[in-house]
Amino acid sequence: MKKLIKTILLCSAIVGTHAAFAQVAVVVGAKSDIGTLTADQVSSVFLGKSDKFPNGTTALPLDQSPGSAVRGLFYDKVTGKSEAQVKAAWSRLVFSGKGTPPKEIGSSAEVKKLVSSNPNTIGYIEKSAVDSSVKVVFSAD
Amino acid sequence: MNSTFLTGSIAIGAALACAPALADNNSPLLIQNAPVYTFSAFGTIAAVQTNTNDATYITGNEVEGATKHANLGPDSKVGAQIDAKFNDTFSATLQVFSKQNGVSSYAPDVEWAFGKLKLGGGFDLRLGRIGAPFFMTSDFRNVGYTNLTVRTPVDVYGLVPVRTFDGGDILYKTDIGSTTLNGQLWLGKSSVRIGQNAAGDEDVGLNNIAGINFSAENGPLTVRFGTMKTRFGVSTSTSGTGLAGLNTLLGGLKQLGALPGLGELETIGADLAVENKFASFTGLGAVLDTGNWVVNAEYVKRTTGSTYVTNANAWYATLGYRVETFTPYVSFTNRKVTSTTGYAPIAVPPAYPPLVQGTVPVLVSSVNGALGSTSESTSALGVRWDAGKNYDVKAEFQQIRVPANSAGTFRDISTGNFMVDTKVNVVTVAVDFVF
Repeated sequence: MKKLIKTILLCSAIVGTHAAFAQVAVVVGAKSDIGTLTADQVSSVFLGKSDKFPNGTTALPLDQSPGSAVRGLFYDKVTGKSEAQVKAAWSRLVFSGKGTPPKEIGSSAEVKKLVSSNPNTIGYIEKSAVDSSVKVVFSAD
Repeated sequence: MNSTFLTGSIAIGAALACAPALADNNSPLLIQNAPVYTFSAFGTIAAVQTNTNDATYITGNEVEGATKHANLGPDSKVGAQIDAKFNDTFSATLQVFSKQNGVSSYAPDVEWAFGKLKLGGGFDLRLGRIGAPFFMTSDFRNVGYTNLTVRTPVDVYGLVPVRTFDGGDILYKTDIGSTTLNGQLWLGKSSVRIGQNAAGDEDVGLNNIAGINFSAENGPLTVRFGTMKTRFGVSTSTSGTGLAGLNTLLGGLKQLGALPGLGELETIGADLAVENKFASFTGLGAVLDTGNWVVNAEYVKRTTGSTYVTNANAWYATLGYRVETFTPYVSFTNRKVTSTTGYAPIAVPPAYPPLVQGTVPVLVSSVNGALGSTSESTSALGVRWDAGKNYDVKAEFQQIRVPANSAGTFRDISTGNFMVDTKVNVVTVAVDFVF
């Protein structure tokens, strides 16, 4: 019986680790006023449909490197769109003079640094990378 | 697509504004003190081939088109754009664009050059040369990468070859619940190059343009309505020569139309003239982009006061389904000309001398030659392949049905052809890119 419990614990630990790896956290600075956001609200900001948070303050989204695992996961899980669809959507805005796409940041560590220093910024990182410098406003498995 | 302004673009940048401070790539630059410049570019290289040498396939008012010999002319194009954000309220955009024009030249045009001021409360003001918003996808109709199909449907988008206007617009954006509403009021003037004569280029001007657009977006669904009116006519920038051939014809109609019993000729001439005539254009469109499905449809109606520019209505509907990086699609389009496309022979009173007897039929047949229907319908089957991170590859097979006595959207039709119901097959292979 003890052995069985041990096995179950081990299994769930493995599953848990795996889940943590495949999770994305949408983050703002720890001191930000922004509370929890919905997937739609996050999508609006990252797809250029809105340049403001629901409370009316300016939102500056931060992207990660094209082709990075966390970026693919974020767009797939949160916006439900492929990177090509996202690129086409931003091209429509850029080539109608209506917006410029999110700045691309090289790593989750840099995203954390930027969101914690500028309350208008919002980024996404692996859930395992979340620490006290940031606040999670949305997370997706 | 958004590589921050680099030294290579200084030439265009200098035209945009004075002494720009280059954006520092290493700084967060998210709290702005200095102007931020963004450089973007787009283009399409496409080959088109048809199964006939009896007519030339074109997509707008270009001269070189496709026959049984493949041609790069109808769809190939390239554009570059610089956006300058000076502060939170003021920005400017410059776009240069090259595509074969009505005089067979690829000389780049300054497509857009406007300043944009945020007025607050959801209102923006733009002044300068701005994309003319006749259609649902007007602004980016030439950015192939943003469209599912190889090109915006010619039956619909070909009704207005005007891409830009000079003037201003007011944009309004607001959210009501989960619906985003956009409004636009635009005012200005424009012109389009339609050909050449001995004295120079022939332009048709659109003056006193006034238009409004509304769109509503809720999740996957966007609905758009727009309507505009203008006074159009031969541009005075061509030293009054304008449409030389047409003016000769109008002169003849006026001269003979003044004779007793031949007044109908004068009426025909007055209807044909392209001089300060009223025109309006209205469109209704919708896009549904949900899951793997994408549906686009648009209906437009053109009304003018000159028989030379026909009244017409047109629509298209496109349905695509994404499978990984491939999106196969089907598309149907239709254009129907609803105004006069030809006059019956006019009876000349027998008392007139043979010169008049002979000239009247020639005039009427010249008028009929200048009119002509562009009605047609098309069915297309194609696929978009998102092959790389900033480019796609597309292939499309299209069958265009041109009803009897219509030229469709073709040019250089051999004598005697297209008199009967005709089908033309068109194959297009395209590569679109953005960066």
